[in-house]
Amino acid sequence: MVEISPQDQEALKEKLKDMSPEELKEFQKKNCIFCQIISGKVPSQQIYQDDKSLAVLDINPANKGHILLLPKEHHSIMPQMSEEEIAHLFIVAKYLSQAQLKAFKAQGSTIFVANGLAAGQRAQHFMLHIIPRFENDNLSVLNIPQKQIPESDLEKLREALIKKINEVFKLKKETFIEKKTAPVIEAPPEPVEEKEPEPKEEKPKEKPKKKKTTKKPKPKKTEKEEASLDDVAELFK
Amino acid sequence: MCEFCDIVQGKEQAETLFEDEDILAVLHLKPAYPGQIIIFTKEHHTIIEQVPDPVVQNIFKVANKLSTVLFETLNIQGTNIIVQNGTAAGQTIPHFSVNIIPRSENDGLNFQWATKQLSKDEMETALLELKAHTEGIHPDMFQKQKKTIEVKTEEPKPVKLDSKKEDYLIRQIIRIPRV
Repeated sequence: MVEISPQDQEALKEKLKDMSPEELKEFQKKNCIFCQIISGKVPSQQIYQDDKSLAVLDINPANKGHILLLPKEHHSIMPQMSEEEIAHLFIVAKYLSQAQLKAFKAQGSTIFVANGLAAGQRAQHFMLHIIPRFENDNLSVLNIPQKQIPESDLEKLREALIKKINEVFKLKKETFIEKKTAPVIEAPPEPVEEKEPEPKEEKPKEKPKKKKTTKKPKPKKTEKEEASLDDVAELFK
Repeated sequence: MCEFCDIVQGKEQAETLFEDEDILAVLHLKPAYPGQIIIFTKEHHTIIEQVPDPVVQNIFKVANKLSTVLFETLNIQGTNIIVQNGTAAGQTIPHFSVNIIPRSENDGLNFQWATKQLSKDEMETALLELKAHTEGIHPDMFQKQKKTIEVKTEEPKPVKLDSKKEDYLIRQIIRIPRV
């Protein structure tokens, strides 16, 4: 598509100023190539879809098999989405990553989300990138750099964030997170016991402190598939 | 032996931000951008494929909320959410985790990958290979979420991007993606 001239940009700005959030969303949707992919107006190489999401091959992939996973509803950034949508998308991402590991004998995958231009977001439609990864695939740009910062900064950051966290999560006063102190001798934090999971739900009750966690078999079928996943996990050893 | 398991067990000190029965969120001690948050499962799982569906759901809901917290607390214009799944993906600690990285203009970070030019044939093959493994995926197979989640769900909050918000939306529209 075309770049917009400065005059048109001004006109556009004027136009957008008078729009209600709903109108703005409609406007964005109409101009969104990914909405057109979802509606089928623009062709794409579809890999998976359900009522809430669509996965297509990225035509400008970082690696062969690079998947874009789109919510069918138009959202620019993740915080605009409902929790249901978010939860659903990432479950789908888990299974798509698994499919990549199997299909390409990939040695890993990167799940990447950019919220906002500053984060490198290029499209106006929120999406997940799921990129199959191989040793020496020249994607070290995806490594996360580590920088040393003063401990006092960490302390300040934590104080600022914790206040907002307690507000956003609506935590009760008693449940305010206390800072973990160095070596604790008492038992590790236990989950609140009254909360019983759904009866039919089999939830691993094993506590993390037991070194040998029972690995819960994935809801997938053959042993061969399991093996390929274990191979990826084994690479650490 | 696992750094995250040590934090869960209290053997290792950490700047804990949030905790529920499944997961723990801490400040990254060596952040790419100050305020980088790392969320991990309390139970030891190496890669996302091993994490039970309800926990995957929970961890990303929390990731979204924490991303909102970063937006509202720090003077930032974006966040990245990155999962490094496997050593080939740069994962260094063999324990599944989600990184939330605050971003601002000119922060010196760059995760922009170079694209690989694939032939039509290669794309076609990739599609077929993948589809052979995605045909069986259906929402019915996703494990249901626990009814009793500690954190109540609420309406998604609009993110305040200050004065930049309006601009941001406009720029989003102007920068129509070239696909």
